[in-house]
Amino acid sequence: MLETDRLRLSQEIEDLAAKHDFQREGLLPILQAIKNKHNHISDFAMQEVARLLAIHPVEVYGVVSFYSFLSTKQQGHFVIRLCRTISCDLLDKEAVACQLENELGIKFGETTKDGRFSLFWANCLGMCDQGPAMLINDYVFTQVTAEKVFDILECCRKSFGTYAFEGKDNISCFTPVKSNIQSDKSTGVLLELEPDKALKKALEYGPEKIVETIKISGLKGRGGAGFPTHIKWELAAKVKSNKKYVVCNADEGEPGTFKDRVLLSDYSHVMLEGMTIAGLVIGAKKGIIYLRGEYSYLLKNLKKAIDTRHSNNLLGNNILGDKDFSFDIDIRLGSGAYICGEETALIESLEGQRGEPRNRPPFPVDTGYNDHPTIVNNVETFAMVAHIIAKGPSWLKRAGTEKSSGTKLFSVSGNCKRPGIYEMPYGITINELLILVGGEEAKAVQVGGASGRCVPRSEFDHLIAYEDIPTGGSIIVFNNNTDMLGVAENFLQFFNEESCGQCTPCRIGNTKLLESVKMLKKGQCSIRYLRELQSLGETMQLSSKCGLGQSAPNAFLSITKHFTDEILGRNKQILEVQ
Amino acid sequence: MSSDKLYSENHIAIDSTARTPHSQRLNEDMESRAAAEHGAKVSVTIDSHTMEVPIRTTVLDAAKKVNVRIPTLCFHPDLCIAGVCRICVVEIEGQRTLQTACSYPITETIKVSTSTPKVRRARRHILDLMLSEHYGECYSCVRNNNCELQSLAKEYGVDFYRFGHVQKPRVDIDRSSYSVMRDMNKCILCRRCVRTCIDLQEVGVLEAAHRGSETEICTFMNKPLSDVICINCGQCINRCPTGALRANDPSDDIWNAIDNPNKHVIIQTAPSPRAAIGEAFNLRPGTSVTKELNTALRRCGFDRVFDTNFAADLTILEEGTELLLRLKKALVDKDTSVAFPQFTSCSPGWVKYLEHFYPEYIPNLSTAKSPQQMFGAVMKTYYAQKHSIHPTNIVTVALMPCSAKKFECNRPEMADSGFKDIDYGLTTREMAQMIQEAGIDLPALPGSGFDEPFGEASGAGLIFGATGGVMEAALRTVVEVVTGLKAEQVFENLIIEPVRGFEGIKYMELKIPQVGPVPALLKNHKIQTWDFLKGVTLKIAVAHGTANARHVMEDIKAGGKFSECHFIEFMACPGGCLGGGGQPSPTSPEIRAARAKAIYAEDESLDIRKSHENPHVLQIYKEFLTEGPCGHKSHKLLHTGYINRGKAIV
Ligand SMILES: Cc1cc2nc3c(=O)[nH]c(=O)nc-3n(C[C@H](O)[C@H](O)[C@H](O)COP(=O)(O)O)c2cc1C
Ligand code: SF4
Ligand code: SF4
Ligand code: SF4
Ligand code: SF4
Ligand code: FES
Repeated sequence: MLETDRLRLSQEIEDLAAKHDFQREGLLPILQAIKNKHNHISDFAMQEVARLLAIHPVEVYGVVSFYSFLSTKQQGHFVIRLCRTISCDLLDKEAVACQLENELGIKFGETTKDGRFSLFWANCLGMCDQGPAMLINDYVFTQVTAEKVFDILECCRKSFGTYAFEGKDNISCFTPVKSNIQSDKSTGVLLELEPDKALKKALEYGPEKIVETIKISGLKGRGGAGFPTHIKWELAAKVKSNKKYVVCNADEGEPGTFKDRVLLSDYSHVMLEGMTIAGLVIGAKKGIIYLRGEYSYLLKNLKKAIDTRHSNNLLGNNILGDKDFSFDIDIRLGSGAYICGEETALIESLEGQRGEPRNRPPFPVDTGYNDHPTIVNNVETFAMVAHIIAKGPSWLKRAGTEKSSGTKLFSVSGNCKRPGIYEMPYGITINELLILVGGEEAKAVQVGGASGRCVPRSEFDHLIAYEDIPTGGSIIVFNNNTDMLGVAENFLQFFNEESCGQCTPCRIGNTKLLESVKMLKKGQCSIRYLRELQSLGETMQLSSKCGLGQSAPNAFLSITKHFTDEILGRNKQILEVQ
Repeated sequence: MSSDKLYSENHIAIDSTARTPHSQRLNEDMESRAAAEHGAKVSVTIDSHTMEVPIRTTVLDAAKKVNVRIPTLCFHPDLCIAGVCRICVVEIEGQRTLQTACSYPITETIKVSTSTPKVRRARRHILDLMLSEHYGECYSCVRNNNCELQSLAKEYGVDFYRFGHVQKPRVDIDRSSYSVMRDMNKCILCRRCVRTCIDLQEVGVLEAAHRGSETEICTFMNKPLSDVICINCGQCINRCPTGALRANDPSDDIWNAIDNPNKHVIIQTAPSPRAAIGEAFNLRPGTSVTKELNTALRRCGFDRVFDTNFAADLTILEEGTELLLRLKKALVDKDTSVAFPQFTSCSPGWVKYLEHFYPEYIPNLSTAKSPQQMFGAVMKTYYAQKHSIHPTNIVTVALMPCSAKKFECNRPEMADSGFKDIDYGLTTREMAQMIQEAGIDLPALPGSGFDEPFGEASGAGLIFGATGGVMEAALRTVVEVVTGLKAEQVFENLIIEPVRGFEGIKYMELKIPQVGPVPALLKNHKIQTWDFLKGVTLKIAVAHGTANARHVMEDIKAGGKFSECHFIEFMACPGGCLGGGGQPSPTSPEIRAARAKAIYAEDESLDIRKSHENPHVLQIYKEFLTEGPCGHKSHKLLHTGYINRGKAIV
């Protein structure tokens, strides 16, 4: 590198670091900015960042290598990421992949000689109902077909900058992202809500009554774990601390889940209102939305929504004239790491670390972001709170079951006629849901995404609810043509890539499970070994450090349990001929 | 004169885990932290034992109290909690998943079972998983028989590879460093080395990179160790549970030299290995085997066995004189360019640390070489002449507790004798290995003394091995030389308590009450009188472990209290040399304390306990270094210069 280039880069990084007060929390945004501008983060850049933040260069390297959107290698102007997760897989992403390779003359993981294109796989982009999906830089392409590939690439080739698609939403190859709400919008969180109704009521109620209201409503977290929201908030409210944080978990990365995307794009103000109420309850002045990098195209609208609320005095200082209530919301972008959806990994990521889940106890409500009490909730949970406060404690209970009150957003994809968003009461059976979505032919349904369970036809009468089959909302339908081993392989590949790699059972366990699925596919796995692995799966569930490792074997275990006929005794010769 | 009138002390505890990611810390929640401060207790049942423990005690610590053994791998008493290996899982009543004993703080009454079917199966699975990816070739591994992974495999009755086993190494061994070799095929990703290097030492060479199944421990951009900023302290080696990290072993070359009749092979032994090598022969930590070791070394075939402490005494005279000369320049000649505080330079890890991170302070480093290197320079000049052996036929081996000494002896400037001053730096571990290889049972040997003329040394040279030792040795001499009092009159039984112990940073002030005549040894420096030191309060500090050193340096940079010191002892390794990176594994605060005890006890048993009373040292100044300490010849042979290395990794 030329000396003047070095100086320029150095100055640029210094400006970036200054924006973040030279604090480590700024590490990820700084790296993202460098990557976006220079298409990679060089040795020199990493050392400069380390110098300015007073950390070690190897720590910066550790972080850069952790996140899949950051890179130390030079990448092309156009970084293409094709989703390889199951729903897009079912929609024949293979054809698109093949065509991309042909058109570009490179394989996945490579960059074209002219430095214009890089081609990568991505894990679930959250467009499962309109796949195959593909990301080019920040831009999302849905329903890509092999035929469209050429047009899309041409469009890139003809442009000079990286923002080839700015304002070109009408190009023929481009299909805008759809919200795709299939159910009627009058049941729950999808209802219209005036932008200040809940907040006004909340200010009237005060923290204790808000918690009480949420408690009566029976609201449990919509992010998957189903922890009662009022307990979390109450705990955080009780801790004395001069700083507290409200974090909105918008890292939606579970394969087959895309409902948060729709809420963020169509209902952002409801969610923002929920966060503001949370700030009021726990006494926080600051909210942070952790938005997954794959959704960075939503950034603009979200910022606009926040600004609007600011100008309407619904955010900022002395909200709605209350002189004791100030609350602000920042947005932070993820960088392509599913594990950062786990709440403690998310906090690590916010602090500028590798997204590695923490030891618990203690919990974030006590020792969270920068050691301060922090609540982390799902987008849908916050939106629900706003509705509950606006409509009263018994509103949620109108629907659902005893233990799972209210309605839930389901993200439906896979082999069905009407994929999309459905809002349904808890307690709906899988059968009922399948009829709605046009998936009556299903041979199995994956409930809860890659970390959920694969439910065979014989169990379609089970309820979707915390007490029976819980889910964060992902429903993937498989028909008779689906190879269940392929499904298991796809999921395990996902976990191998997305595990943080910190702890032994998850890091190596997933490798072993994936290996065995490949063996099964070749008809080379003994039943003795299969049983050994099933037992290993149980160990992973029991002894992994976080929810990822604890739930990673679920799909493997349910598939190997319910589809023995299909997976055992595959004939080697047939495969070889193929 | 009573000692407590003369000096005051001050110990500073530093929390060196401040930079650790939370994911690897035992976080403290506010509520239980407050309760802990009020001495709250909580009841816990571990298997069949019920007891009261202070709130926040971990399950692992509670189990230790009742002798319930829970296996651990990523846990290390010197480091913060990681909770990543998961081998220490236990079952806690009412919890859905198993919990890791090392990371679980007891904050309410719980019932723990440490050996249920679930627990046993999980541990066995975890172990099997590690072994499946571990390139285990025990018989060709340095850690054979002293490996935490291997012992666990035995303990858990591993008799087949449940999930397969790697047959071939995955990556090349990094042999680039003079000191540390990394064989990542044996790494189990416990991250002890990461926590050692980032938290304990604050050097920051190693970190986990990538994620998922690709996770590995890397240097910056996975460069060879010699290309990144490693200070060669070897602390990571001591804490690695497996053979993934090891020192660069020169023993084959040393055997060759021994077997070559034309070579005169000299070994010098430093005090710390003598207090620790017994551990490799199953003796309790803190058993000093100096005399038995001498016999063993002769039986191994070394031609001469000398005591490094001789050179340590020499170092004290050189370094002490340098300090007095600096003081004179500053106080008498009013020369403002003299750099204060003077820093010790005998720890090569520390020296390299300073060259990288604080090169602007190179003028503060004493130019005196370390005892090891002084010894080598004397061997290949004075000794060679005296015994008419050509220096090319002399092979100098240094038995050291330290892996950085391997780097030090290879520094190109360390050849002032005209030859490589020290040919090989050998660690305690490697020496133990050579002794075993020679079929010698060390503890059973009869004792014997060192060879003359470098066999007798003072207790001052001996205590160099412990943190604060160099300072203590220097003070014993400087005080006596300057005040004309006997050091015993100032320090009861010659023990300088304020600089002893394992507190991270120690500080002491010492008022010089009176001055005596300038000794003849220093006549060349034309100092007429010590009057300029009368009434001066000497301020000194001691720091060990580079994280603590960093703290002191930052304070100096900011113009704080330490910038007013006159003399500061720095040791790269926690505990000083006795905790060096070449010492037997494992290491822990208790083991280091036991070694220190042995060293201090030996000091008290000696007749000569002050460097300037070592007759051989006085003799060498008479016969060879005739201009005295810091004279022309000393400068050429016993002093050195440093390199501004900086922080850039290229
Ligand atoms: C591997 C993993 C990924 C997760 N991803 C998400 C996510 O993308 N969005 C989310 O809201 N919660 C996610 N969670 C759950 C969070 O850890 C946390 O429980 C949730 O944000 C709490 O919010 P809630 O109580 O409102 O559901 C994930 C958990 C794990 C273990
Ligand atoms: S279970 Fe997996 S994702 Fe979670 S901490 Fe362990 S390795 Fe990381
Ligand atoms: S590290 Fe331990 S288990 Fe591995 S080969 Fe060496 S001695 Fe054997
Ligand atoms: S030798 Fe010291 S500096 Fe080098 S990697 Fe090991 S702990 Fe870090
Ligand atoms: S090198 Fe050793 S200490 Fe470091 S992670 Fe690997 S096994 Fe653990
Ligand atoms: S020793 Fe407890 S997790 Fe490693």
